[in-house]
Amino acid sequence: MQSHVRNFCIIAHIDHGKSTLADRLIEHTGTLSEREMMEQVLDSMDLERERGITIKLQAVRLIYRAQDGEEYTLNLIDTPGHVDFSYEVSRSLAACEGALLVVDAVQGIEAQTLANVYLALEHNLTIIPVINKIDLPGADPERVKREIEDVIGISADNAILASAKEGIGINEILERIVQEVPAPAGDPDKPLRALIFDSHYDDYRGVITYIRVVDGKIEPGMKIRMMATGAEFEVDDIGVFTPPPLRMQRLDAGTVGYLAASIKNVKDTRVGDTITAAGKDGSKEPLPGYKKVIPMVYCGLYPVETIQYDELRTALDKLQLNDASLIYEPETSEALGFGFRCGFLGLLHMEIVQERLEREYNLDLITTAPNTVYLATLTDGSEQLVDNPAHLPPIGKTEHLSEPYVRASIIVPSDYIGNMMELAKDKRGIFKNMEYLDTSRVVLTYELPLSEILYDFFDQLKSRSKGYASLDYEVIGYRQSDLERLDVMINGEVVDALSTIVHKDRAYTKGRGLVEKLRKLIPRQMFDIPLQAAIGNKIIARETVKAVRKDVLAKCYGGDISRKRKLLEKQKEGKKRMKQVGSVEIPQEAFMAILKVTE
Amino acid sequence: MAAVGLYIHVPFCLQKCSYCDFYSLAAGEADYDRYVRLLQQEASLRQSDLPVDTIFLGGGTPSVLSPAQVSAVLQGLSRYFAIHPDAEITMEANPGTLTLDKLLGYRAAGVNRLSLGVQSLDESELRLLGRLHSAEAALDAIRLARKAGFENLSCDVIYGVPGQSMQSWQATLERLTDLELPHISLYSLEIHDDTPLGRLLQSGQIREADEDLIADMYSLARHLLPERGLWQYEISNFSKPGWESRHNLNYWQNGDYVGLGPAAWSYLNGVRSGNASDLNTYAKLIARGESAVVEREQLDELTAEAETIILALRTTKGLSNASFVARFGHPVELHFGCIFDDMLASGMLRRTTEGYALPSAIVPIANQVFTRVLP
Repeated sequence: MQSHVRNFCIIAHIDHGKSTLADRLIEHTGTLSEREMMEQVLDSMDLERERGITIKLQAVRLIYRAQDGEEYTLNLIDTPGHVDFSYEVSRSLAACEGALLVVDAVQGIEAQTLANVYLALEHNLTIIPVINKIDLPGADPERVKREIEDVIGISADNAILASAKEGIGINEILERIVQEVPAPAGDPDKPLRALIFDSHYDDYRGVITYIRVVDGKIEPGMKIRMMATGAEFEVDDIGVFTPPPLRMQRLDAGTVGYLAASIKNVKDTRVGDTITAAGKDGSKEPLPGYKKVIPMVYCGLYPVETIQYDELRTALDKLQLNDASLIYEPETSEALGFGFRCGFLGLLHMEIVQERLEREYNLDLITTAPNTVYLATLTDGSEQLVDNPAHLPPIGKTEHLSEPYVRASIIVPSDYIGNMMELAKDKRGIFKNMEYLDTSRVVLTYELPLSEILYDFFDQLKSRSKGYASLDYEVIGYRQSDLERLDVMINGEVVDALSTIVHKDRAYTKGRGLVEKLRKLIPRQMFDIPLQAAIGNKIIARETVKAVRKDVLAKCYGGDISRKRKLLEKQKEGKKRMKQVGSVEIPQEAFMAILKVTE
Repeated sequence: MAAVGLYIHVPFCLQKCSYCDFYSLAAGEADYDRYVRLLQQEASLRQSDLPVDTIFLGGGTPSVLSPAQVSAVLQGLSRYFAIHPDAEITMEANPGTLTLDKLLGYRAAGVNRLSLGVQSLDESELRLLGRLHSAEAALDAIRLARKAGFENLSCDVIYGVPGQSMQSWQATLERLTDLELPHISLYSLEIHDDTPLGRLLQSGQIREADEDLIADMYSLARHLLPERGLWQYEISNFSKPGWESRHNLNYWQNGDYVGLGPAAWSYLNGVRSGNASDLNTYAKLIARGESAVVEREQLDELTAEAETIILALRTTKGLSNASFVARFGHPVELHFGCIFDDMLASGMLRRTTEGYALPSAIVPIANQVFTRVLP
């Protein structure tokens, strides 16, 4: 019954206990027996468990008997906490009517929590504040309540005091969800409209879509149509997540679940599309979809072995289905051959995609250093977006270059304000504002080039604040900058995959640092290898990888032969993993060397 | 019938050297006697009428055995193998374990070549390497060996020792060559993780020698030794003409050999097999009259060919086309023609009247060639 359904999500900063809370809710409602409980049930990807973060949103149905004696279906939709994944967050928000705002009782509000709460308010979600970890010695729930009221501007009088770890406050949370989160508003008698909020590819059943039924109902055997693509299918089966998928005979308006319809072509389903009934029973009006995301970070992905190109394409197709924010286009590099230019939401997103491709699809990849999208204004007045430094228009034809800027909010204990300001200055930051959250913590607002954040900004932020600072940023547009392309020549040849765009004032130090790094990364080979950094025709730095002089196994007698052969085989394997560019073998890490250049 | 080599592994040491990751243990007289009996038993199990023209007692430290024990070993071997009267019989010896009497005894037992583990003539290097003897003791051992009738003498020396200077390396080489030894082997120090040196390295108490310094040391030896009449005949081995180690030449020609004793390896008819390395396991198997072999590797043809090429290219003489054809029934170019052409063109390989060899400049970086030859 629609009146007994509640759809909600959890908003929290990394480490504030969201996954543990989700586990408790699942446990408490008896959705999984204790035996089935694995820590972080919702983080099912290996990567998520290893890193202790949520990347993909997940959905789970909880059956809860409330104090009023009635049974309610609570659909919990998990959300990622990292800034790179705010697209995933906004998708899960669109499938909910309420959100638990979980804030650590010791640490208080962090920058990312803020960003997600604002998103939730935009979606008109009911927000229930939960102050977690009240069992910890440093817990100060009163201060955190004031923060919530001052910073977010919502009442925190009735915030729930909880400890997911100790099981405190779990009952109250469930009760409050039932009482405060509105039941879904859809009309069960109208034609079917269901929003696709996620999907993944199953080798046996094709595309599995994750849907929120808004109006009408959906049943197996029904003919359906994807409103944006026009593709039609017959529903094989539908169900809910408990968290393991559980087949159902029907999904009603207001519910969240999955749908399988033998969809073989990945391109036929699009996250954000509306599913309706095929034929005359179909709705004419699609649901408001999602804002198309604009990737701001690009890099080249190339197979180490050229024959893996097709496998890489297939893997990207499948991954995109599960990760709508990933975009890619074929590109060719003189140095690396055939590959793809891929766009990401941020660096973490890029790392995750790369790791998923290597793990889940068994690919061996070379990733080139990430860059932002630059805007070139040409002498004829036209503008051109450049997502690959190697494709920058010639200097003679370029009027000027612009780069994306972000507004960054840094929340940090006041002791570290000086360090943060110094860091921001190093990164070409422009100070905008400083505001005290309470007596000991401030929000610093800066505008700075996105490209600076791509390098070691986040690591620096953490190390210069002993881990206390948190960061959120949003792109605010393009600004003209004094930029130029830094090229690298290896053995006299420009290696396009190593080109980067740098600020004029940094060109020399970056060039110097880059060739030094490369000298350490590229193993000594049969001949001297000159490494040069150049701006245009001007060489600004030079290093040499000296020819190898000693590479021979000394002892080799009877008992040793197998062992020595195995050592040689290992050495040969190592060479295979390197990319042959001209006559030089370059290890994978070299293409990311620019990221490791510290100033 | 092609002659085979016999290798006898003696798994005992008075003290393990700081760089050694081979199997050896400290033991007493009773263990030595038991070991000699086991060896005789294994020889009887593996008896063969293949002609044997070299015997090599390696270790470990074979010179922990008494002359009587060595004699018992060699007599046992002659009972079960067809040993040529002119066979080269080499024994490795640690200078710290030798006396004139012992040396006379070994000579009388039939040993006719001695390989001395000198390693260095610098006291601080010897200490770091965990050697039991001083430089003076090493030089004494050479004199005593000669007195006992060992003309065919070889010394092992190590370069690339942490802290070793070019000067000390040159001094070690010069002092040894002043004695007009007929044979010298040079090894660049490899530091393995699970050794005392490896641990010193991990804890930062020593630093590995610089690659360029090691290269310079090798280069110095390759100039200095031939000036003093010792010609390089293999990557690590130098000798007066005619004084090469016949036993080791057989390895590099990928010839057959039979290994006896714990951790010894054999290579017969394309099968490489290894004995149990632990003395107790070995003893148990032999006592039951079973083979001590616990590891066996049958090489596929391409790997066998590649090994033959790699081993032959270690020698200055290089690979002989004729013996390759005799062994595999087809020329080496059948499978390796493309790679060889490529390497000939880039100067990594040269032709000889008999086949192929490494150009002198490539010898120090021979792995660059070997890794390309492997399938």
